[in-house]
Amino acid sequence: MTTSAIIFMGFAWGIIISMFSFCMFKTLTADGKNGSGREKKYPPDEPTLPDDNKNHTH
Amino acid sequence: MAREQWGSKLGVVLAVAGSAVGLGNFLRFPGLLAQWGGTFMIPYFVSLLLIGLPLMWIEWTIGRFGGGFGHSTAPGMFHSMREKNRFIKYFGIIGILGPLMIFVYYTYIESWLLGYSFLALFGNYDHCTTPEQMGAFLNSYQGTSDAGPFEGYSTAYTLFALTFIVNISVVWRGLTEGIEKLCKLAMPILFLLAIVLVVRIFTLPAYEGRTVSQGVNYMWAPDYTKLSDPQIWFDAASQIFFTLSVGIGIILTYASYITKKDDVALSGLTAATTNEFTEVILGGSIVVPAAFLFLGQAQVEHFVQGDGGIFKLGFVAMPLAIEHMPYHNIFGFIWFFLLFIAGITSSISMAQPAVAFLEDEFDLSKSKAVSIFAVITFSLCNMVIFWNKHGSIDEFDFWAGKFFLLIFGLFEVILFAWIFGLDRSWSELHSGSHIRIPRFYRFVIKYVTPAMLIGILGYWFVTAGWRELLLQSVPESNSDSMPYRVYMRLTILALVTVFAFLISIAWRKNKQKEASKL
Repeated sequence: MTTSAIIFMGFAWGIIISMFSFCMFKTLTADGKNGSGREKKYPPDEPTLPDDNKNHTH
Repeated sequence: MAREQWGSKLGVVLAVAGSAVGLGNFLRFPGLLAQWGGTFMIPYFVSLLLIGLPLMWIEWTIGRFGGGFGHSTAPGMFHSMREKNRFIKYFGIIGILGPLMIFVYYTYIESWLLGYSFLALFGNYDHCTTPEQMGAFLNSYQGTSDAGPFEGYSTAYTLFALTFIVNISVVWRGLTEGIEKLCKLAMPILFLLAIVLVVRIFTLPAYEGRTVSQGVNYMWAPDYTKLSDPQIWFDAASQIFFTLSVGIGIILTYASYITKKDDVALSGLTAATTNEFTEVILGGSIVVPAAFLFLGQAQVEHFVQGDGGIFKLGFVAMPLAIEHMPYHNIFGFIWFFLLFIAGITSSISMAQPAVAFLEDEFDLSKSKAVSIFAVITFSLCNMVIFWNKHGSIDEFDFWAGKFFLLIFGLFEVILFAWIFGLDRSWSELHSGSHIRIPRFYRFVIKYVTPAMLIGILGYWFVTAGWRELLLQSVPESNSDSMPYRVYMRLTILALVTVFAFLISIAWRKNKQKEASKL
């Protein structure tokens, strides 16, 4: 492989792998207990209406 | 009726990533990279940062906002963002009809992949040793040619019916039990199969004096003079647009099932980077290096630049290349089954907006909504299958896969930044957020993204769109297809009218219901 091809491939792979690792790590740990990596479980019956829009009409 | 919700944060991220990861990741991207060389990654990253990520965040935010009002689809969401305007909800038709139309032809293409998985496993196309023979085999399978091992549409239709039933069954089971469970299972399998192929291809010995590293070099070697060609910028921007599944309404629907205090900024970014990982790292390391090694540079150039390039890369070049490998039946199966998984995680997402629209706005049960969706799309699928030789897939793809997508994406940005207001939108985007988006994105979302989308739309329209719009792109040899094309356009027009009518009825009905409560 030529040096320029290696540079371009390394540059693209480096950016993508860094971004992917960062995001996956944050996603898996953001809601976990003490950053343990447990994924968040949404409460099953959480209300979906925003507080300030409960009386919205069509 | 209680609205559905995702079971977990990872579930929704994988579902959105599954929706985005499709055939384009494994076929269109490597084709473009081979065509333009490593230089392609410059406009590609610029487009990702200035179009892809902003649209991803915009759709997640609008989706979650609309979900707060009990709307899972674009008409209700747009109405919620600008109640004073009674027409704005009709722009949302594209957010339901677009995915429905793509579902119709995508499911059919997906069924070819399922069919080819078995054909590869049982060695049914082993006798095809040239691109011409492999192309004839594909035409025979699709029923568009009598020369070949398949008689009529029977095989393709059976596999299509099976694929259609699988899709409908998943959607029928609901958000968490169907879509989320499938994506949580399918996405790791997809990664695993892709990694197996990448490792196998990168460890192949030289063939007729060519090596895999030469194939990789062919893809990545930059040519800076190409940066002055507007086409490379257009190709990169459109690839980012299509690969992230933005501008179509699917992410709006998926994001509507999360709550206001849940993050959208990080989730949107994670879904986008998961798609990028699949596209650049995995998708970019399979088909072109393998085809280069076994078929040579001239053949690869023929495939990536000729008509029907990406299909030929997938259904002609790759099977021919794999035939040279030991255990080719197994690797052929892995290739097509990998694409089938990429396809099904996308197609189920395309069904959800229409189903959710019927559930939300007409209070229909899931089973009724899915049944109606199945009847309508099955009828349309038959049109696509039996009129394939008359350009049915091209016609549906032109409207739903290009025209609607660009218009809808542009409308969303304008709505988010200019109509709803950037300050409110920015605040909505950061509600419950796990990350802070850099402030310069305020400028990007307000000015740069809409300007770039207008540029893409204008460039596409001038270079190709108007010819397709006026049916001038249909070759003279296919002039007998014209009546079919016109009939398909009338069908699409009828669908737009029906959805406009349904929206009107739903709003009138809900208004009466709310008036009676007072």
